[in-house]
Parts: sequence; structure tokens; C-alpha cells
Amino acid sequence: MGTTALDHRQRIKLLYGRAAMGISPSQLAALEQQPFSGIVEDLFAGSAEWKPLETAQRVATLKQYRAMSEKDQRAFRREQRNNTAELNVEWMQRLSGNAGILREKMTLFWHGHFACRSKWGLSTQQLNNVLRQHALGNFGALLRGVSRSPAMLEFLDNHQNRRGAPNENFAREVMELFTIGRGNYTEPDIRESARAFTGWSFRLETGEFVFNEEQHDFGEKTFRGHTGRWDGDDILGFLLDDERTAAFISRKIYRWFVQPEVDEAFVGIMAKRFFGSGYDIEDLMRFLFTSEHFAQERNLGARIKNPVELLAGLDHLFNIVYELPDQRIALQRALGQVLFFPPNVAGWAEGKAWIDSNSLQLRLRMPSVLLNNGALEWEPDGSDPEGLDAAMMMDAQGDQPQRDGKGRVLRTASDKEQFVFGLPKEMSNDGLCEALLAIPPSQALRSSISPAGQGSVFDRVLQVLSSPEYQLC
Amino acid sequence: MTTRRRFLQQSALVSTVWLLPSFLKAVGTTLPGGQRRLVVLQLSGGNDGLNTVVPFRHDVYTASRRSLALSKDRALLLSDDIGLNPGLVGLRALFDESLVSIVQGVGYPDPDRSHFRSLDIWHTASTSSEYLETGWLGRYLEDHCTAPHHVLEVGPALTLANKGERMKAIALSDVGRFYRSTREPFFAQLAEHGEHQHKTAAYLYNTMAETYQSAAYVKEKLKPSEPIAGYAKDELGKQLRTVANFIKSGLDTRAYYVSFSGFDTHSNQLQRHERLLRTLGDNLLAFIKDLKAAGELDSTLVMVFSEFGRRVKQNASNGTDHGAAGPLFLLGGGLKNASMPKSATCSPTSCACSTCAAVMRSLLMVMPS
Repeated sequence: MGTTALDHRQRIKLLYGRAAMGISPSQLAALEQQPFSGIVEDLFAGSAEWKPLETAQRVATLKQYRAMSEKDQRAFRREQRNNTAELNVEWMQRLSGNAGILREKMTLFWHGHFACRSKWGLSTQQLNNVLRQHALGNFGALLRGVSRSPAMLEFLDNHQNRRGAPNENFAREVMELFTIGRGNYTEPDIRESARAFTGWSFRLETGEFVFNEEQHDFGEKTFRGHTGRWDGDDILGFLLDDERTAAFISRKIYRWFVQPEVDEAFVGIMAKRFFGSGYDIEDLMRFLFTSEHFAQERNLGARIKNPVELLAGLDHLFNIVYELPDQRIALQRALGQVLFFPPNVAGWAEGKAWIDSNSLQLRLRMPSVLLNNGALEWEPDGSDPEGLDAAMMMDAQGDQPQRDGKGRVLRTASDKEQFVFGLPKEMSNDGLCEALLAIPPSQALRSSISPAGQGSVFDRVLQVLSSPEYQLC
Repeated sequence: MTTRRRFLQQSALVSTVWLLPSFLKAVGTTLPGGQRRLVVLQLSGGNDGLNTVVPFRHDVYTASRRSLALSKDRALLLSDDIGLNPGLVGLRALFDESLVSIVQGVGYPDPDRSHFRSLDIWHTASTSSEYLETGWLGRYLEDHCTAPHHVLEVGPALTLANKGERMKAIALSDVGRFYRSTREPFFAQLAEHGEHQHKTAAYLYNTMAETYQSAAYVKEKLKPSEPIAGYAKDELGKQLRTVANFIKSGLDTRAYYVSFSGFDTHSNQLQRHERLLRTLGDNLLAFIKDLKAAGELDSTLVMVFSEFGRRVKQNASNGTDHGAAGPLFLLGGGLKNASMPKSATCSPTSCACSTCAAVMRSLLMVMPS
């Protein structure tokens, strides 16, 4: 596995593994006839427009909320959780489809970068749409949009950041996690910038940013050698003027879209280009996907699909319909990644962090569970008192119905026939592996797949998908 | 409330005491050589420390909890000032046999009142301003152990505390089921013979093989468990019985992890909390007796913690809201100085990360990473 260049098919598969949620054999066969540059352009063209993610929301001002009885507050919060669950399902559907897939994939990346949890459905929706709007736009605009979103301001306590009584949480994370990265700022930088962000607050009921003059510290601040009466926008400007922000973001994009093992020289080239373009994300991504560096054998299968990629990828192949839509969320939870519930502001750890004995067994069984009435036993683990309450574990016996944490049976329907119909006639096992896996199968996998002609084609497809190799993209 | 600044000043003055609490020094020096093990019991949801170890004479306590304060008559007395929740009959019995130490006020500076963030901090033993991706027992596992089952979680999914970067513990609820799931022919074939030149694929095949082997080891070692009196027929009773059975079967596991949830008592707390603590105390009593009868108690330390305590002032629904620090229980036969608290507190006086580090140093005989 080295710097060997990929052939056309491999290159398309790699692109679709990273810029989309994988590719079906029939899609691959169709794209194969086009030049690579055109395939990349089509992905960008398909994501040129954007449509906000929207669900109905009941809203209340903070004042109204506080005036409610505890019982009504609980009911209100439950309603808000349901709103967020609806957003989750809607987003999963988008992530599983073809329309605007590059934009949705980028939104997922930014969702891990600007990781945030909010109790309020409207704030959750609003921040997610900020990420979606700027997903392929300008990073500066994205950063400013996130920094003015009620969800993030509340999550990082900035509504409590007042003149004379600063709360430094927001200012710290903006530098540590969103822009220049740890080690590139000092404690005085945090103190001074926290003062600049005082008064940055929000209205819950409208999802609007509010600049609260009475709470803002209009005094002089010295931030990284610059002295003046800075406000939050000035601070963000200084951070964007620093090339280390371009390097920090480029490295993160590299780790997510190319390889966990960073090639610093190439990241340097990306950063220079990103900074030079004034933080044009689309330009950077196009450069990356069409580069020779991307199209190398060492990148094949270098990424462990995160649970959302795994679930959306299967959904994309088979058009899975869930009888109960929120079971999509229970599956995410069982695999350890629920949209809108990152573990903390640093986002999901990604890579090997997804894999332990239990999660791997569950991942390997996911195709048969979703497509072939495999069995799952679900147990509520009660570990999340804030909301979602279903966890599950797999069971070896195939004779029990699949149930979720509430004891409901998990039923799905999928387009298996359609999928098999789309395969070339008389497809060999090696052909199936080549079409469905990012890397060649192990010898053990090859010899475990039923011989062609024995059993149905779909059984063989299922075996290929139930492999360690299928965890990679 | 102790401010961060005051906390740091205080800890600078008494840092040696705080970084290696004396109770843990005692554990470390009196235990015999050979295998020792840790059992961690997590009380999820934020256990109300003040109604667990009750300062019934404290004015602020009684004034702040009109309907929740426990009086001297109700508490199980430990001293003139302190008593245990009436539900903790089992724990009280263990106390009389000097098998329990209570450490008051364990938390961390700059407490975070969110469940998930606070658990995150406990699990990774980080400070409240850093984000670590591995857990304290997971790091122990990959630095000092050779097989995933050397740390075992009894439960449906693996907690972050037990995840290292290269090696992670195993979670299981039922040995038979766990074993069978690794023996389905298709997966067994891959686990036994799977090899791959690709680095990441090799990591996955390796994880499969380790799981396969650990399942065989545990299944083979496990002796049938005889019914032992005292365990409740609930989830916690089942889980602690499983742990006891593992220990008695001679598994070479160094740390076990169990979670018990339901402690997020925002409303109608009094009876609910007492019931939870009764379950806790009764099951712990059964567990300790079980280990003692098997001669395994001196080599076992049980640590019971919760992600935070709850505020002194009760809320409008006869419950309590998220607070900061809380009491931590240590149980075992090697506690030379089983100690009782002298005062009640709900602000941090011992740090979670240094407590975990001290447990590692003194019990597992390793330097924490």
C-alpha cells in the first residue's frame, strides 16, 4: 500500500466513499464512462443549491419558559426533544440520498467540528442550517454564523459572559477547537477575547442573535499584540488573519476526508491555498478531490466509516424504509453516534474510537439486521437521563424478532430485488467484493462467501457486507 | 461554593494529602501481593450526596430541604452529626465491620452540571477544560494488560472509561450470549482465520480475534454460579452476582465496571432515592459477603461514585437539581483505616482525576497515564 496511483474505478469509489455515502454497483458502472473531472464537477453542481432542514417547532421565550410549571416545562422539553428527533430522521434521509450529497456530507463534517448540543429544537435546526448554508462556502462566514448562533452561544455559556463577570468558555473553545488550535494562544488571549465577546447573546424564541449593549465591555483590550476597543467580530477577524487557522482546518479536513495519518507537506499546500483564497471551502475541496495525492493506494480504506456513514451507506444501497422512523435514532445510539448529540464540544473522536469488541460485532451484523431479519436484542441502559433511552446489543440467535428499547419490533423494508437487478449478470464473488468493498477481501472472507451458483446472489451480497472490510471506505 | 481560585489555593496547601488520599495509601500498603482487582460501580444520574451521607444537624441542610431533610431519628447514625440514608441498611452493616470508607466531597474544579460532560470528565479523568478521547481504565488496559477482558464491563455497551486508543475492554451482560455471538459460523471463520495486509483492516480482524479468544477464555473459566442469598432480583443484583462469579471463577481480570442508573432525582425524590439506596446497600452487602466467603475480599477494592452530587436547596417539585461533588464509597477487606466522614460537603475537596490516579497507583500498582 503506497503511493501507487489508482485506476479510474478505484478513484471513483474513493471519491464517493469520502465525498458521499458510498456508491452502488450500478451507479459505479454508469459513472465509469465519464472522465474523473466531470464526475467531481457533477458532485459540486449537485450541491450548488441548498435547502434548509425544517420541521415544525413550538417556541417560547426564556421568560415564558421560566414561568411554566415544572410539569409544563418537562412537557415542553419533551416536545423539543421530539423536534430534534424529527430533524435527525430528516437529515439521515438526506444523507442516504443522492441529492446534494456532497453538501450534506460537508455539513456532517462541520457538525463534528462545530460540535454542539442544544435542548431547543429551533436552535438545533438553526445552527444545522448555518452549517449547511456555508458548508461549501466561506469559512469566515461559517465561523461568524456559528459564533452568532443561539445554540452555540448557549452551549458554551456565552449568555453568562458579562462585563465585569466574564465567562471564558466560548472564547477558549473558539481558539482551541474552532480556529487556531491548542498551543497557539495564551491565557491572557482568552481573558481579553472573552471580554470582547461579552454581551453576545440570543433570543430563544426566534433563534436570533442579540447584542446586549448593557452587558458588553466596551473597554480597551489587548489581543495578541493588538490593542483597541475590540468586539467579538474583531477577535474572529484576528483569528482568520492568522494562517494557523487555515492550517488547523486543512489538517482536520485531511484527517476526515483523506487519511488519519497526516502528510504535513500536503496539508501545508492545502493551508496555503485555503488562506490565499480567503477561506474558500469549495475551492479547497475541489483541489483535494482532484489531486494526485488523494488518488493514491494508501488512501483506500484508510477511513473507518463512522456509524452515520455506515447506516446511511446501507440505506443508500437498499432504500431502507423503517416502519418506525425513530428507530433510525436507536440504531445510531447503539453504534455510538447520534446526530445532534456529539459527546462534547470537541466532537466525535472518529477512527479507531468507533471500534470495540461490542460495537464491531454489532456493525458486522448491521447488514443482516437491516436487510435480512437478523435478530437484535435491545436493552435500555438508562445511561442517558437527558433523553434517548434505547441501547441494544446483538444476539446470536436468529429466531427472535428485533426489538428496540421500548420493546417495539424493528421492521424494515428494502429494495433488495432492485439492487440485485442492478448487478451485472453472473457476477462472481470477486466481482461483488470489488464493487462493494474499498479494499480487496482477506483470504478468509473470500473463502467464507458461498460459492457463486450456491444460494442466492443476495446472500452473497450480504456476506460481503458483513465483513471487516466493509467497515472501511 | 468553593471557587476555582480558592480550590486551587487550598489544594496547593494540602496537595500531597489530596493527590494521594490517606485512605488509599492504607489500601496500597496493607494488601498482600499477588492479584488484586478493582470493581467500579457508577451511580448514573447524579446521586444526592447530602441525602446519602446525611448531615442531619446542619442548619443550612435542614433549612434548605423543607420536605427532603432527613432527621436524626430517620438516619442510620455514624456519629453525632452524620448518618446514612435509611435505605442504606446494607452499607451500615458493612460499616460496622470496617469494610467501608466514605470519602466526602469528591468532584473536580470548575464542576460541569451536564450529565454527559460530567461523566465524560470522570471517565477520562480529565480536567473540566480538556477533552480526552480515552478512558482511565482503558489507558490502564492498553499500557499494562495483554487481553481486552482484563477490564470487563458488565452491561450492554462499553463505557468511555474502559476505552483505550489501541485496546478496549469488553462489555457483556450474559456470558453464554456473548460467547454464542462470536461463534456464528461466518464470523467465527473470519475471527479464526482472518488476516489482512491493510493496516486498518488488520486492526479490525485483530479486534475480532481478540474478542473470539476472550469469549472462549471467559466461557471456559466460568464455573456455574450457585444461588447466593441476599442479592436482589434486579439488574444491579444480577450484574454484581455476575462480577462475583467471575472473581470466584478465577478470571485474570483486573478491573470490573458496573453502572446503576436512576439517580437523576429532580422530582419526588424522598422515597425514590431511599429505594435506590436500599437496592444499592443490599446488593453491596450480598456482594461483599459473597466475596468474603470465597476468600476474595482482601484482594478486591470496590469504588462507588456518581458524576456529581445535587444542590443543597431542594427545588419546587420535592426534588433536587444537579450540583457539584458528592461522596465516594470504597469497600473491601484491605481497608486498614475504614473511615467515616467528619463533615458533610457538596463542593469538591478531592479531585476525581487524582482519586482515579490514586486507585491505580495503590491498587493496580501502576502509574496512571
